[in-house]
Amino acid sequence: MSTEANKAVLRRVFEEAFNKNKLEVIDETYAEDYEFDAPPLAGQVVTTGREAFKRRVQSFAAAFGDIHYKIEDVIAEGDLVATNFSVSGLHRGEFAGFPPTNRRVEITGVHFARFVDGRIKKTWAGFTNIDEVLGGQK
Amino acid sequence: MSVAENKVLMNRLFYDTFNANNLAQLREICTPDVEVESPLFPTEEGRKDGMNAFIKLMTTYRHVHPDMVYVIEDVVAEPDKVAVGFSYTGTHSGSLPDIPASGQKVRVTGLCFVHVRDGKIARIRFCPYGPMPSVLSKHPHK
Repeated sequence: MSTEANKAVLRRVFEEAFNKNKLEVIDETYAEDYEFDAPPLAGQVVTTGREAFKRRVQSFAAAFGDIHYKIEDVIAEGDLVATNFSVSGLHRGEFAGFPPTNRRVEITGVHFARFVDGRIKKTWAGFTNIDEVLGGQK
Repeated sequence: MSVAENKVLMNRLFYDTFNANNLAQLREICTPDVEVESPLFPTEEGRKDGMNAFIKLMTTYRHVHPDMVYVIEDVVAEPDKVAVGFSYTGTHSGSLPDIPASGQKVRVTGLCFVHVRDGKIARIRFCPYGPMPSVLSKHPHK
């Protein structure tokens, strides 16, 4: 698969699976033995498999009303795709240890995905400004 | 800039600047108005005075982990952008007023995404990932 094809998959995941909550897209775009390495959420210990990942996507949508993911930049080389992203919405539920602020927030981060045969095999991701945005200046 | 040149730029950042503890070189490899996004200082500070915020943060890291060594684990480059997955290992042997040294060996992983302009880092966003957070994530200046 070309780097452009991998980027297209990544864009489809953000637009359809994350923004439109079409979780079935995850079955088409992630490998069956998919692994993720991302900030832990309450009650989430499993970090492999598409079903665990779908629950993670749902827990984001539960915590943020009108959730919207935005790809700010996406680049690709070899089997990797790197993304500068933000996720915004109304912080209405507990998220990653932060109680709801009931404010509209925008959290920024970086996401890496490794592709095998056109599907996402592994991802790494983290948030940049989450403490500032959800926790205030400590 | 070519893809290869952007990778060289990342080697200069992680190896010739961070590992060599030559933070003055940040002024050579970053644009003067570099924007730096880090969980460890306020967004506004990194936007307005990214250079000084960056130097201050890396100076603090070196104080806390005097033996710290960065490794570039993965790199993704295009002509005007480059992203790096990195790790550092070190001993938490330096104390800060509110974070006493633990003596613990640490291995912390992170990602950064860089915009390149005129061969220099114009914007860089850092984020942590993985099981071990930076000891500085407890620091009150965040």
